[in-house]
Amino acid sequence: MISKENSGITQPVGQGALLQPERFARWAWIWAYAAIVTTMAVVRYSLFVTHGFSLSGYLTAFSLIMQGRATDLAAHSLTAFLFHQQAWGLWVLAPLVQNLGIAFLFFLSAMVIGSGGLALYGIGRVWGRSSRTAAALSSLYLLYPPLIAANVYDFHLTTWAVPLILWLVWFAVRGRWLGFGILLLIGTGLGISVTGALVLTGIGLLLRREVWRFGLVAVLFALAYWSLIHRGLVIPAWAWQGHLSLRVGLYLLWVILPLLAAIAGVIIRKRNNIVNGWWVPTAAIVVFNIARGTVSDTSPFTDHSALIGPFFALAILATGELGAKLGKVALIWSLGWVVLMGGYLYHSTWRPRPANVVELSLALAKVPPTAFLVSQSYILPHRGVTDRDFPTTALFGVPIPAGTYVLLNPKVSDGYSSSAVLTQWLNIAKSPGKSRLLYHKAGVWLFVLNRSVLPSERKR
Amino acid sequence: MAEIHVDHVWKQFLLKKDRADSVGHLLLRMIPQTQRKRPKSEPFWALRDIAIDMPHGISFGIVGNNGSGKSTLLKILTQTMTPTRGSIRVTGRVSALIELGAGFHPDFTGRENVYLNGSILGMGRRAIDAKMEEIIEFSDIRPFIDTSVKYYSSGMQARLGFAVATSVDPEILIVDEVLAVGDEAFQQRCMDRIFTMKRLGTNILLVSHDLGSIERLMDQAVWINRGEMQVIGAPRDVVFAYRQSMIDQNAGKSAEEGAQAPDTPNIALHMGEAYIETAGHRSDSIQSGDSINLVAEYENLGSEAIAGHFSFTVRRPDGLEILSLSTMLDGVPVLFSQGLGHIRAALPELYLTSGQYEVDAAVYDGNGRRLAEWKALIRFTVQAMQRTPGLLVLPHQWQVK
Amino acid sequence: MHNASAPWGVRQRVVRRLAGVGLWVELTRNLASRDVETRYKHSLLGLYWAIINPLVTAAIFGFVFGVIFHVSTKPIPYVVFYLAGLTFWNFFANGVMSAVGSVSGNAALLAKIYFPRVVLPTAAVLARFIDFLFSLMVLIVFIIIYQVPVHWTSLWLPVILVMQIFFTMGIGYMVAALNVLYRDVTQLMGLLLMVWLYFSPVMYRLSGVHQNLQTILLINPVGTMIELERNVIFTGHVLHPEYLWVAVAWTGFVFLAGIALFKRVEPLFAEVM
Repeated sequence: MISKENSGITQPVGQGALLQPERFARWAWIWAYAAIVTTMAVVRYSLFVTHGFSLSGYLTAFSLIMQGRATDLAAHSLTAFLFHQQAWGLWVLAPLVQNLGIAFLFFLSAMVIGSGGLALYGIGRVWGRSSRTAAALSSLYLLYPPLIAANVYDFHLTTWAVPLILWLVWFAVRGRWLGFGILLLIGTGLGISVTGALVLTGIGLLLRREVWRFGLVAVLFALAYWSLIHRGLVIPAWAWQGHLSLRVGLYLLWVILPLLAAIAGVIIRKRNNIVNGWWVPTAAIVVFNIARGTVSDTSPFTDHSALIGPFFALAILATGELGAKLGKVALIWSLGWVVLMGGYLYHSTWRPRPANVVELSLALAKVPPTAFLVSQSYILPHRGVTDRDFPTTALFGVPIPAGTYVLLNPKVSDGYSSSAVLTQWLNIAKSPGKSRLLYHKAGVWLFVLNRSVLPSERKR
Repeated sequence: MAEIHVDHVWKQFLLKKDRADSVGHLLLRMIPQTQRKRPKSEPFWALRDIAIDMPHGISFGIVGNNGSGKSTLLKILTQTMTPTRGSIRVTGRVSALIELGAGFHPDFTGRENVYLNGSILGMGRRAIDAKMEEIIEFSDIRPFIDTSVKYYSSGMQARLGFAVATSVDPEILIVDEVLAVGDEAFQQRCMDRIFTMKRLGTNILLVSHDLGSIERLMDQAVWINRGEMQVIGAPRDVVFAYRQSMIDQNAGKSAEEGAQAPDTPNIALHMGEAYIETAGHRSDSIQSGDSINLVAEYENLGSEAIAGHFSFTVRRPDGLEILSLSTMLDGVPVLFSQGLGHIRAALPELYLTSGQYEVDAAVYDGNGRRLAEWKALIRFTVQAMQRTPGLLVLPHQWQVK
Repeated sequence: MHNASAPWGVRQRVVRRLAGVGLWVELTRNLASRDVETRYKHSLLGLYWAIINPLVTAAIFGFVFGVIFHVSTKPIPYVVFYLAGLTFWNFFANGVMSAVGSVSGNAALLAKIYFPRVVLPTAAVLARFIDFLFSLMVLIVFIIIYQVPVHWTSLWLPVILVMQIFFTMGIGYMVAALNVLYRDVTQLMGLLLMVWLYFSPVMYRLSGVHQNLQTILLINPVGTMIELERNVIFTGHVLHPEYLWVAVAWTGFVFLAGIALFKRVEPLFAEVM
């Protein structure tokens, strides 16, 4: 008897640890998530609509790092925010992305974030929840709109904090110090806001009797790292002017409303464990988010909102079983999320899809890989990781040399190149003395600069 | 250390009713129905609460009627099926011979099938190479070893299957009723081999209708009836209980038949228990050559003693009379006194071949007219050291000059 | 028995488990090689069928599309272009079709003792991979005859093939398990594969398709893999390398979901068959 003899240990039939159907099914869920998210991201990329503000920044940062010009990170307006985040994870990712392509970044990000679902499931099982409840919450986690949005529409290293937090808790509840310690160290590589999240995770752990030691270590470590490496604490300031956009409305509906409902549940139902420590970090992040309150911060689809997810999920998981009724609510809720994501996908992917994908590809093909290129940020990622890219707006402290190619698609905005900037570049295109036009079709312009453009000449 | 632990196993089969067999049916089932239409199929438990412990070095026999769930239990033990409730734990390398031709690919040759089967049973190619000669030798199909198995007779398949299953050096060997396919000589060889393996420390799990071999070879036995364990324990007790139940069943049947027949005994003599005594205690299984007593208890319900004759007839279940002991022939009239009594016939040596036998009893009046007859009053089994054809195994010696 | 297992360290357990895997590998290898042998056993041409089939189809399509319709696949002759696509497609399609019946057609093997049933579809797919290697030789012969230059990126071929094997196995596990429950799956897969073929860039060139359609066609991982395989052999220039990672993600999902589904249905095998 093959399996029996060699496992050598007595085990119930059909439960061979190597081929446990449940384990495969759980991993299959994670891969399904990765497959769907990667597909969406890549389709969006190949349709020239990946104009995520952050993705351009990350790609530029990767190229600079690969050039050994990390000091330029601070000077570049696109990468300055990354520089201040002091995320050493960028140095790890840069060679991978350069060699394996941008799609690898999408794939890796989806896998990392999806793996949080496994951790959540594992935590639920350790806490004695039924497999059904743990799986339901883990599915809700996978469907959590801010997380998907941060991957499909963009890339954010900080969102990796979400699975990181969940795995930290998983290691804590299983009492494994080694993994916990390694993850704490990895956490510092993801940036400053993650260090804050580590403190909050520590607080959550401190409030549970059986794992308070882990919490203490996390808090002390994060505080020490925070105050030693970063200069001082970053305290969010109340900056919301009461501006209520559609995005903010959706945010309130899908992130704040369930919170309120759960709190109402505390008052009305008085379930056993609903008053648990995980509400503290959850509330803290919500307050931070509203307090920092730019419109983009309080949109339902940013990395900052994403951090609410793990704590909220842990708070619910610590409460107890999802009854039949709550299970149904969770199902309806997740369906709502799917619809929401579908709507958002349509809204941001198919609706503004540039009609001139073919022209853009043709024009891009005319640009030699070694040439410098000035273009909009949704076009630049298609050149891969290279330092020969200049976004239309961003100002390097260097002049743009003669012989640089310029590729413009003024019909579709990249979200942060002002019309003044585009007009200025178009004027250069139209004056034969300054440039040589190579391609012009369906609103796509490609031309070569005859003389260099100095930083002082460029509009912002 | 090889052991089997069956922990309160229940098995329910998926009945055909529960499976959608057409798209229409499938769609219909997707509509949630409360309780009105859904035909509630009767749960059929093929096994109910089976708990068996088979520690290292112990061999187990399973007896029971056809359809009692023996094969289902074996399938669960070989893990081709999973229990509905409960669990089993099997430690050690298992080899099994369950269905005829199981594990054979009909298009492969015998030799290829040996490799295939060996690897299913967890044996590498080199290990099989070493055993190949032995397997061919034992299964006695050397001329056909490179012929496709689909051309094999059932006996050849059984032989090859048995040879492979026992050649992989299993720690646990599970054998079902397949051996019945082979001829007598092969069956005997199989039993010898099983016995040898048992002596060498292999745990044997044997399902057989050959109650004699269960009693003779096994350390423990269980009788399963309609999916439930009836008796578990020493094979002697289990087989006895099983036989008893069969006798009861048959008695019930013959009682029904008897009610229709007018040939009821017109005598006030009631026959009580009848049994065989050997070495001073009751038994229904004897060794060939044992000294036995045939005992019948009676009760004379009448008001006076009855004078007459009595006879025991030993016959095979197929009706062949082997031996008749009659007081009339021996010229010793008996007197059935009033009340309880018993009558006893002593046989110093009874040399019968292995098998089942029945004893009829009859009472006659002084003139030899039969007053009453009791069919199959006693059933017993004889075990001989060798399986020989014929009726008798007599002590003998050879001399060649 | 509990104390018997306790003294064994993790290492020993791993060693024992690996030894177990080794036996499964042995069984898989055994089944696969027998599969290849019996497939051609009672036929005069034997293994040559693995070569003849793609040869004839390539000849027909090469004639119809290359000569009659003048489909251009410059710089590669259409026959070679099509044969390359077909070779890789056939591995997938034949692998899936072999796997469909691998469990339901082997009832006799299942009645024996328990062995991981996953071995059966695995062996079926691997057997078709051996066939595939033979037809790959045909492709090489054609490449030599037509003197088509081969790009050095062909060295990447094994990597993509491994991915394709995993993908084929994943689909194979699913259909093999479902086919035990409902035999319709065999018919369905035949139909589905036909449709699938036309949605994969086998007979046409992806770069000839409209840009927006390309992105949709490339969501299909088999299409991506065939396109990649053909491109690394002939041009070294991959049209949409980013879809490689989409295919990786789907392959991972299909493989794991295949095993999970198979293991879920497995306890029913003995009862349904």
